[in-house]
Amino acid sequence: MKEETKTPAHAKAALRLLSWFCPAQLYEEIEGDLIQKFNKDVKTTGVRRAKRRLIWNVLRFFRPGIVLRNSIHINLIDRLMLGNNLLVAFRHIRKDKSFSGITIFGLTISMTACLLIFQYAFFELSHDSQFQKTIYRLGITTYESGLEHYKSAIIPAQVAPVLKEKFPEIMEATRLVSTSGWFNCTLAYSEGDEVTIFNENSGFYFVDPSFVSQFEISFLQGDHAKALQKPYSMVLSATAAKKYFGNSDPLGKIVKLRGSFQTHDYTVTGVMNDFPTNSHLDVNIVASLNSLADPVDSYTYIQIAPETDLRSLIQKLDTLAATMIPAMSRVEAKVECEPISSIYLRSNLQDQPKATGNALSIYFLMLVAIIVLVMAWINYINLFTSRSVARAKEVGVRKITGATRFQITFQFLTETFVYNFISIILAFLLISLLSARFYEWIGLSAKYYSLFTIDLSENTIILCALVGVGILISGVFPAHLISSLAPNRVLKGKLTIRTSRFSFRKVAVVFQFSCAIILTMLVIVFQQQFKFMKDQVLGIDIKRSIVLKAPANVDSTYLLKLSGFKQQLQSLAVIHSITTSTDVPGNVMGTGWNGGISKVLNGPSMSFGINLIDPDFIQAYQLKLLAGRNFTEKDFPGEHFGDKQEPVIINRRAAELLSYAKPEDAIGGTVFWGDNPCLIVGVLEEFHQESLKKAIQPMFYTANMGPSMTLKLTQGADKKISLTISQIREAWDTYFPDNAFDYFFLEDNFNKQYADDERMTRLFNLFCLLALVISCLGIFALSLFSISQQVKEISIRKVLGASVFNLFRLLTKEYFILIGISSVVSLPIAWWITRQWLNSFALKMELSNGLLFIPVIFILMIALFTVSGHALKASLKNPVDNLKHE
Amino acid sequence: MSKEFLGEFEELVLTMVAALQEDAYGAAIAEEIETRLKRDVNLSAVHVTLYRLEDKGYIKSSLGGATNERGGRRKRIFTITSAGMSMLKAMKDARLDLWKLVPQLKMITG
Repeated sequence: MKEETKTPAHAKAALRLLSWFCPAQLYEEIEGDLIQKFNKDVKTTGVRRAKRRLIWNVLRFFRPGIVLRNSIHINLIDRLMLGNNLLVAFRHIRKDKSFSGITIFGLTISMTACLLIFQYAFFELSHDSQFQKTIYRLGITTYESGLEHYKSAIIPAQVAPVLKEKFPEIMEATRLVSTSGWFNCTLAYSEGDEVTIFNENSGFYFVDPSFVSQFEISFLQGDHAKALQKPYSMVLSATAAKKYFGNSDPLGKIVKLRGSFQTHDYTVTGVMNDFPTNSHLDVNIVASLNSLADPVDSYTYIQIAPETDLRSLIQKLDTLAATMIPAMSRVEAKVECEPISSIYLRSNLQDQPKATGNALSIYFLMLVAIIVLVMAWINYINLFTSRSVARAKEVGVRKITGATRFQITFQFLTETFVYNFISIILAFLLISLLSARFYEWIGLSAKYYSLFTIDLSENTIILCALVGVGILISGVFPAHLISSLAPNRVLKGKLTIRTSRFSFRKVAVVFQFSCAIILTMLVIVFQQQFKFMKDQVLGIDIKRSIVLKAPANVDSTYLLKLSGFKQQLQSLAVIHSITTSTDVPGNVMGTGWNGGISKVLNGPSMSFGINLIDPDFIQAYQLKLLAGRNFTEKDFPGEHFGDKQEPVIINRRAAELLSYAKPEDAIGGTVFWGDNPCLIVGVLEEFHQESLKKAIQPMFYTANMGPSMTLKLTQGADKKISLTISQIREAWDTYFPDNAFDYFFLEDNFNKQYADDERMTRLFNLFCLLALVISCLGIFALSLFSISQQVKEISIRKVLGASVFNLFRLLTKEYFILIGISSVVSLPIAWWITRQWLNSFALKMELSNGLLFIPVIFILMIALFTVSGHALKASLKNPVDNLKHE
Repeated sequence: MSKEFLGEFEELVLTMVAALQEDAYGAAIAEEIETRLKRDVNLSAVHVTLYRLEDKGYIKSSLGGATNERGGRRKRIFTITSAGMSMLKAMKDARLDLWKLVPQLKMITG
């Protein structure tokens, strides 16, 4: 018997395992039973098997009925208390309205702002996420003589068919040919005498039939498999169909396309659902690609087989690109392969189908939103602890009547949840009221998706988790602090909460002020930079200018009509001058389809902006000719460009790049545009063609009729704009009856380039204001708390003869120190961020050192203002009131 | 019958507690079930069931003496409570009542 009682070594290990998970009160009997069983097994089956059985039996005890026994029984009482906790929470909210008002106000505004930003950010991040992940867009970077020349999202159209043939891993290659490069493109639908006609320069694409399957286009009408197979067939989005046909059935209707490259009738073969707005593409109308005889270049989207090695595919594509470029050429090309979901925020290519977003600013905004929310929670903690004096007696009584510390923590956590819950509900209410206004205010008209739609995307889950954790932490801290109070001391009235030099509250206030200083600094720099840019001389007059889109329906009589139209307009009193050009200020300049500009034939070439202008251009835009002459009618090219030596005008920067010392030296010089020799006849003073963020480009002007017509109005004509427009329209309808009349204001077009920055500035202003309000609430709470702790001290000092000013200084000194620390922490960060931001501008203001002090002084003033209320009240109070209880 | 129901294994263990009287503890019950019913039972299952029955108030327990074969560990001796006893009786009666409803097979010869 004695031998059997010895348990072997690893049987002991098994029992130790048991002792680890088994509750102590059950351990002994279970162990005994196991040993008894083991001893019996040794007799019947032998030691080895018995050991194995023992281990197995121990493991079998690892079950909820054993492991969790008696460990969660406390739940019951807490559940009973939950109702009471809620009741107490609501009572307190009602009882101290100013406190709960401040708390809920702070939480609500920051949650509202944060959720609005996240709504916007999620929309931006959701771009193209609805498409398959295996879709990539091919772009191209060209190098001339080893230097990067151009990065484009458009590649030659003949590539796509080759890709599908040569690479088995490319399952599908779809081309989209945009009409935005066409000078003109209108669609007209006529029913009887009534003609519906619109310009369709954007959102209109010629596509391969595979577009439907690759982009998962759903059709409302028509056969999606066949709709784009035949030439001259067209599919419209529901919105576009409504625009052209109203409520009548679009299927089979004939639409006439008039464009620079084609005039033909198209049959409507289908109606598709509107293309999602959260996409980098803006597809509104598609037509079959085989209607175009010879498409030059296209957006090309490939779909690759899953588990394709992308890097080796890109290598293969690069090799293919090398074989497709003529051997003689100096041009090299590298293929850019962008996953579809990253195009909108991360693509750095030119020629995008529509304006892209900026990932960095989205992430920055989200960061700021989170910081504001964290600031609000910190405030909550501060406010709550400042209330601990008032709540201490309650806690003491609760403890004496038997509440455990856990229960008190739980009670205060419940309160935190109630506050946050109320704030979240209010925030959602506010959002539903303000959402539309907000987007209007930041200058976005697109329909944004709502936070109310329940989608369990990764982003939403992360946001929920973040809010949940934030609420928990902001609740646990004050609850822990309050529940730690010793009841006997509290009830005796000796409440002192330890305020060490580095208390959490002070760190929190430093954090808040640092954030506030950084945001204020950013706001100031943003505003100054924009003012600086607005004050810059553009070098070109864009005020009171209307731009018309040149007619699409052109024939041999076009030039005649055009001069007639110009003459009729010129006779109007409101028109100052008229000019036509390819691009108007605010547009991104094309860099030419003939290749770069070089000083000697086939020499190293440079990329210049190219604009076709007429002789009135210089006068209409009030430009200054530095040397040489303006164009005349005779300078227009003959049948083909390059038949004669073409006269050109360049700008000053171009003259410098072509290494002419003075503008006058350039006159009479020859340059080559591709293979065409051109004669420089004039040098223009440079002006800002594009946003002031960009440096001035070298420009190259040739004489021609461009598709944009700029009408410069006379002084005062902009006051009666609708009359002016109707007069212009009248002339237009006389000369170009079958053409869409489209116009915009040049200044708007130019300022459109700053829309993104304007939006950011507005958002930052908002957040700065929020951060200031919240940090004021924070310091308000902190001063309330610390002064309430010092009441007796102040009274005694006063009795002993301290003046009000002395006391005031004593009470506010702390905040000067806190703000000082915040400045030291935040100013270098703010300095660094503003530098980074300013670096994105070609023209930037100088950051002066004085600028550093503005936010600090500003914050200091606000803080002092907030604190002084409490401080003055405390120091003016009659000391007797505070001391008579002793 | 009361609102509470017993599972088949619970009933078995409860019966065993009633039967073994002073000797009713985990390992003994498991052994007894194994030898009498030729049914493989797991020790942990017996323990969990015992605790559950105790929670329901059908049995109560106290720590008993240690024996050498248990390596000096004490046993927890379970005894059936009157609630447990009446539950057991009620279940048995119900069983018998039902059993009476079953038509008894007659021996068919020939």
